[in-house]
Formats: sequence, structure tokens, C-alpha cells
Amino acid sequence: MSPKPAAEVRPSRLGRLVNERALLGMAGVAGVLIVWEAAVRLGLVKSVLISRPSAVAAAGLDAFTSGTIFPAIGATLIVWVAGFTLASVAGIALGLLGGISLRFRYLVTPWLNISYVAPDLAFVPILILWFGIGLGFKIVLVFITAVFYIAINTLAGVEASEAKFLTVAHSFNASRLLVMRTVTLPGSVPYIITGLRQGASRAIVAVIVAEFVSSTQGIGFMIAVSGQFLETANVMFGIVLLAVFGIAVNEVLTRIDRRFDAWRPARNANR
Amino acid sequence: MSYAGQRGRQPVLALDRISLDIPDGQFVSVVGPSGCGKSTLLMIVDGLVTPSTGQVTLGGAPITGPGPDRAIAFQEASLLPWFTLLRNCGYGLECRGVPRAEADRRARELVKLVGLSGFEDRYPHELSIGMQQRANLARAIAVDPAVLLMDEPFAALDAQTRELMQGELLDIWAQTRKTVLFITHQIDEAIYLSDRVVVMSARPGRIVDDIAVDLDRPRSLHIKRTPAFAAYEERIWATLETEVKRSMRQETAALGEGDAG
Amino acid sequence: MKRTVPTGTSLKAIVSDRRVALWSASSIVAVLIFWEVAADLHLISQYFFSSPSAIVATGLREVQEASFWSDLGISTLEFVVGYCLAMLVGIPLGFLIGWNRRTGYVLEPWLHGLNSTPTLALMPLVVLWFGLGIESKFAIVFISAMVPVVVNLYVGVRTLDPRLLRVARSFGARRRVLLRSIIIPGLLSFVFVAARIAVGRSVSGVVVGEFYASQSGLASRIFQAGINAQTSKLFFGALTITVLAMLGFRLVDAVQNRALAWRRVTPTRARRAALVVPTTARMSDL
Repeated sequence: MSPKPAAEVRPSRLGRLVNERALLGMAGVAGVLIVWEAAVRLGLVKSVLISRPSAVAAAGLDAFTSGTIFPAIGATLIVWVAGFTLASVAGIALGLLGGISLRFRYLVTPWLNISYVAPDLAFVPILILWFGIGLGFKIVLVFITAVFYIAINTLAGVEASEAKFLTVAHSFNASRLLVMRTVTLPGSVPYIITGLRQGASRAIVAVIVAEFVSSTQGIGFMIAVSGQFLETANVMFGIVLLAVFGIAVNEVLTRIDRRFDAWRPARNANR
Repeated sequence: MSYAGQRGRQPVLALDRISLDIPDGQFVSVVGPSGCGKSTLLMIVDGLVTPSTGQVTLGGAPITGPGPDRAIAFQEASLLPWFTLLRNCGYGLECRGVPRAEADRRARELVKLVGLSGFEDRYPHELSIGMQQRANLARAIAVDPAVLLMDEPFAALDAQTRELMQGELLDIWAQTRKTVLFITHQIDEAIYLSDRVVVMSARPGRIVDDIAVDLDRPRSLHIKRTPAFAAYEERIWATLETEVKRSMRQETAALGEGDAG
Repeated sequence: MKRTVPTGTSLKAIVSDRRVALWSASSIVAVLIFWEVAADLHLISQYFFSSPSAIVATGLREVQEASFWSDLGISTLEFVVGYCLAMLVGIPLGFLIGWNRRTGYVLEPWLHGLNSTPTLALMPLVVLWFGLGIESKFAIVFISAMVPVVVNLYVGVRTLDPRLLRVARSFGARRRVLLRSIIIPGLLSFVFVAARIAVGRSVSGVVVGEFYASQSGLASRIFQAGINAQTSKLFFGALTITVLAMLGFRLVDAVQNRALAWRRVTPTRARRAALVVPTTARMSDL
């Protein structure tokens, strides 16, 4: 046999690899679901403790067809979007301000470090005291939970891109604003996205906890109430909804992140 | 020992009907354009990669996997970042089950041989790339292989350090007289070091020339400026130039495809 | 491909080393003073915001109460049990899932899903499983801390440096040498990243677990103080939990500095890295 031209061989090998991964992944999803379903049906696990996948699906279908789920989704989504948007704007602004003014950076750095260590959820009762138990409290909680992650990562990005490229820019006598626009900002983008990713998933946790603690609506409330009425399928459906939302947000940010990979070889280079 | 009869072929990376006989104690260099499968050839000889057809024999016995009679100095130093220089140099011995004390003792000798005495307790990230490459070399020699395989070990070094290292490698080789298979893309490096230079084509890699280098040993850097040396360079470059151009065309084409897919 | 990037340290950065500490300290002191003065002059409501001195006074009273210490003990126990279980189970689990490429592919979607799920939302289920006692707090801490541990170890195993593995294979390393020389050291940094994240997750688990269903523990104490509008007590409680979390992080860092001594950076750079950046292994990097 004479060797095949490389161009012909490589894609098919790559194709096989991708397929293997996807196929095994699908098999894994199906396999676990089947075993789970069987285990509950055979009575190995009590269905009040862990519902069956089919029952969870039925609960979901019911919730969607009857429309009862939509107000809950709406309530949760409003809080998340409002809190996360505010946190993104404020967090990125905080981080970039730290890029413009060194003094400002030194002022905020200790607070950012404390905020990373401090368990934000422990401040829930204080926030309730300040803001009551309405929409305002929930949005503020989401904001606080997410904003520091975004600010920390943005500032880290600013510092990293400065360390790498600033001497180049300085040697070209670039002005402060030009440096910001051409060096610091684009260099920080991957970090900002990492911050947004971490902030987004923390924000979901915050919404749910807020709804657990004090609310009459939302997915978190639905999960909590269903739990009290032993409607396990509904609880699990709520969790699946959250998981799907978490995956979707993660996926969107990953896609955005990938777009910057083209000019960022470093991360994969040292493997 | 004789090192005889090599036939390796890899459909994917396309080494095409390579046949090479290397007598015991010879220093052989392989030059070729990037991507021609030089490194794969080395991996096959080491036993890390199995050829799809044909076989490699060492002293008459076929090679089926890595063995104690061969050792590679890798292209990137690939030192274990969490081990000190000394332990890295003795790592090959450690892998082969030599007790630590004995491995350390032997490693200490080699650290000295490659001129790194005093740095035994440093971690790789505290060493320059040149020093890491010396350690890489020491690690391979430490296991006392019959055949030393070297995969562009000096590629990452600056020009001056490289020339120094070439000289030191020749010294070490003169002391140990191992069979060496040395991969490089530097023509002058190949001639300066070797008894024999094998030129490979662009993909699929074939042997297009096999030149015995008849220069006196021990060699010094002056030899690089002699007419004889220049003649060898001329001859090898003449063969290699077309191959390098071909390889560049292949790379451009592959990159275009990659974008489309 | 290697790419050389100029990594110049600007003069400004070197000079600012001492200034960083100075500015940081004064930033915190300034806020505390402002808070105290504003509260004392009734510019802000004592009822809503308390004041540093009031919080200290409350703290001094709190530490004399037996109930404070028993709450502290309970929360610490919840943290320690859940955290240790999460590490003990999560590390081998992540390792085993990642060790075999195919097993990894099979379970990857579930890891990905769990990693994106706010695990604290499982609290109602956990109560269903374990009741309102301390077991449900162990469980929620365990679950929410374990997921990132498994994911980090999984990513760690899958990204072990193939060049080092090749070196070991070329020298014919036996399984035990391979494990000791490459796999375990290579995974350690992932273990510590996981250990750090797990501290944060465990603290959140304790807090939410106690908020959701508990009569005892620090978070439950805070919650009660919130209902009674005892602002100083509230602040002191939150502060105590923060200090506990900080101790947890410090402990992990201390062990890490010992275990990863080989990659210690030169002192000057360590001082300059004033900002603590949370890191996570990313599934999308695989």
C-alpha cells in the first residue's frame, strides 16, 4: 500500500475523533437516564426521594402546556438579567478604572480581595433588612454576587496585558488613552469574559437563594414549595431548567470567548 | 553490535520506504524540511511509535518498544518541572528501577559532564533553556544507552550557545563513543557533528541523499570555514532547497484547508 | 510555537510595591473611620447600618455567650465534614473518570451539566433525603463542593503534559514511577485549585443550608438576628463567617505553598501579585 496523501487522511481521522466523543457522550446521557429510570421503576430507589426521568419530563411538559411555568421563568429571569447586567457594567467599569488610575487600583484591590473571600450569601439577612424582601433585594443580591468576580477578572486582565505589552506601547510613545484602547482593553477581553462566566453562574445561585429565602414567585420558589409538598418531579424539573439555563449561558460566553482564541495562542501553546 | 536494516513507513505522517543502516559508534545526522517526519523516524527507532510496515532492528533484534539500549534527548527539554536538576538527570535511571541513591550518584557525574555543577538543586524553571537542554542530554546519557537519539536538541538555543553545545556534544561523544542518530534542520550543525549526513525529502519523507562526511576529528569550530566544509554545505543545500520549497507549498495548502474546514 | 513577548517591568511598578500596601491599608481604614463618624453623627441610621464600634461591642458580648460558641462549632463541623468528604470522594472520582479517555467521553455531558447547575438549588431535595438535621447540611456542603473538585481533577488528568508522559514511556517507567513522578505532581496544582474553590462552595453550602432549614449554626444565628433587626449582631455574624472562610483559604494556601514549593516565584513577583484571581479549570478547554 502506498501512503495516502496527508490531506486525505487527516480530516477523516479528526472526524472519527469528534464522532467518537459525541457518540460516547450521547451514549452516556442515554445510559444514565435508562439506568436511573429502571432503578426507580424497579423500586430500588423510592420515587418520592428521586423522581424518574420520565416523570420529570412529564412534569415539565405539564408545566409548559398549562403555562404555569412561564410567570416563574419570567420572575427569575428579570432578576437575573437586571442584576447581572448592572454587575457587568459596574464590574467592567471598576476594573478598567483600575487600568486608568493606579491609585484607584490600589484603593479597590483590598476590597476585591476581601469580597472574594467573604461569603456573599451570608450578607443576605443584612440586604433584607436594608431593602425588604421585594424585587430590589433580589437584584441587589445578584448584583453584589456577580460584580466582584467581574471586577477582579477585568482588573487581572488589565494587569496582565499591561505587563505583557505596555513596554511596547510606551516605546512607541503612545498616549494614555491610545494605550487603553489598543493595548489594555483588547488584552483584557478574555479575562473579562472569564469574569462574566463566573459572575453569571454565581448570579444564578444568588437568584435561587434569594427566592428560597424570601419570595412568592420564581423558579427557586417553585422548587422550594414543590419540595415541601413532596412533589419531587417538580423539584427536579426546576433544577433541570436551571441547569439548562446555566449551560446555555456558559455556552454563549464560551462561543464569544472562542472568537478571541484566533489571536491568543498562549493558552494552548504550553500543553 | 551492529545497527542494521531499518524500514519504517507511517501512512499518516508519511515516511516513505526509509531504509538506513547505521554501524556501531557512528554519528549520523538527518536533515530535512520541517514536517518531513524526521522526528517520527526517531520515535520509531526509540520504539515510541510503531512503523506501519517494515521494522527496525538493533543488533539483529527487532525493536518492539522503548528499551534500555536506546535513549532520546527530546526536542523540548521536557524536564519534570517539580524535580530538581539532579533528580531530572537521574530520571531515566529512576524509571528503570535504579535505587535513588545510585541514580543520584550517576546523575551527579553527568551533571558534571555537561557542565552544570553547582546547579544540582535548582528547578527547571530557574534554569536557562540552554541549561535545560544540557540536562536533557545528561538524562539521556545517564542511562548509558548503546544508541543515543537526539531530536533537534539545540533548536531552541541562540546561535552562540548552540555552537558551544555542539562542541561539548562532540567532546562527550568522543568520551563515550555511542551510536548517535541526530535530527536537525541546520546543515552546518549536521556536517560539523557527523560522520554521515542523511537528507530527507518533504512529505512523504524519503531519503534523497546519504553523504559520508570525511573531515578529521577532533573537529574545532575552524573547520566550518574550510573549503571542504563549504563543499558539503553546498551539496546538501542543493538537494534540500527544492524539498524545502515543496514543504512550504504543502504547509500553505494545509493551512488553507484548515481554514475552510 | 513559541512566541516571544516582551515582559518588561516598568519602573513605576517597582516603585509602587510599597505604595500598594500603604494605599490598601489606608483604603480600608478610611472606610471604617467614615462609617464610624457618619454613624456617630447620625448621618446614617444606626438602626440600618450599625457602626464599627457597635459591632465590636456586640462581638465582645457575643463571645461570652455559650450559644455563640455552640453555633460556631456546629457550622465548623458542617463545613469540615462536607468539605473533607467532597475532597475524599471528588479527587479519586475525577481522576478515574478522566483516566480512561472513553469513560471520560461517556460521562463528560453529565459533568458539564452538573458544573453548570447551581447545586445549592438541590437543598429542597436534600431536605427530603436527609431531613432537617445536621445530615442535610453535611450533604449540601458535600454536593456543592464536590462538583468543582471532580471537574478540576477530570480536566487535570485530561491535560497532563503529553511530553512528560512520553519521556517516562521512552525510559520505560513502571506504573508506580509514572504515578509518583508525573501523574501525582502534575495533578497537584489542579487539586489545590479545586481545594480552594471547594472552600468557597462549602461556606456557601453551610450558609444556604442553615438559612433554608436549621435552628442552629452561625448562618441560622445571623438569620435570626436579621428577623429581630439586630443589625450589629448581624454584621458580627457575617464577619465571623468571613473570617472562618478566610482561615479555610489560608490553610489551603499554606499547604499548597509547601506542596508546590518547586514553582515558587521569586519574592518580588509574589509581592506584586497583590490581586487574588479566582481560577477554575474550564471544561471548554478540552
